[in-house]
Amino acid sequence: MMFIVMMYSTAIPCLYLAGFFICFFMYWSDKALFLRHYRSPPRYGLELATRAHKIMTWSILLHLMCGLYMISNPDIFSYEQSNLPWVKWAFGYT
Amino acid sequence: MSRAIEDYLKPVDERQFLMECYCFDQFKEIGLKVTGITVEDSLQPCGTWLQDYTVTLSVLYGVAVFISILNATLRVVLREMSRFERAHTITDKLSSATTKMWVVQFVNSALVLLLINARYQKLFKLPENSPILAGRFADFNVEWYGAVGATIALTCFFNTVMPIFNFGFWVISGCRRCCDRSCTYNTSKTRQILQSEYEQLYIGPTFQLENRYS
Repeated sequence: MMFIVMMYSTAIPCLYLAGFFICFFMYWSDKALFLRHYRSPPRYGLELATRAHKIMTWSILLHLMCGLYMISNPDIFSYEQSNLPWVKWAFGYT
Repeated sequence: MSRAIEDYLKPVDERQFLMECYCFDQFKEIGLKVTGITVEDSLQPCGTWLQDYTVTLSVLYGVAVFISILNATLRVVLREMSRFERAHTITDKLSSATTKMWVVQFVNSALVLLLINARYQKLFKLPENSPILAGRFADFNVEWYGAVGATIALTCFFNTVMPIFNFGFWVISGCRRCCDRSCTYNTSKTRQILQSEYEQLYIGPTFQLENRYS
């Protein structure tokens, strides 16, 4: 779910709030239930945590690419192209 | 009111939809009585508006709830199916289940909605009845945020409260233990015959780490 939050959060900023609440509720509910309800788990290896960590690093790239595409919609941020000669020069627009 | 009626009586493609704004304001003040507002003696535009508004909201919330329930169901199915892989260690099994759960949830919650509603015709032409990339939205415009963006956001917000439902399992297991003791405080009393059944009842379920990581 955090991957989805990262994907769309640039254009839908309220998803940052959803991401915060997901982490908050999951942490406290798991902590409470881990102490009161669940049985003691076996000792897991590092592989699971490492794999999750590796997957999450790709979300940063997705966040940037989706954010770039969604915000580049001219209906959201419109501008006069004639006022940006250095952008034309930098990106090779004619 | 008069501007809204004037706008409502125009052809659909020339309207500014002022009547919808008027009906929404009236709905906040007088509630369901808004359906009784009549213009031009017989027309009841707010009744039609309320019907459309209710259907739209129901679909929006319904899809979000459906996706959340579908994800929860698929998590259970994938966890059970990962047993058949016969991994050598528990970590391998959980790792495999985590990856599958993550892919399924990501596709269900983020990609399916995006691809069904998107319209892409630049590099290749898809037929109109294509299930993907033949939707209504050619770009991330205002309508996209109202329809698809709102559904994605609602799905995420529904998922914020999902961990709280785990407390329900705690209450259920507490009730089962209470029934086992015949609803007394005597902790040495039990109806279980085998030691394994007693332990199964009192130790509690396994902490599902793959659900959290996915």
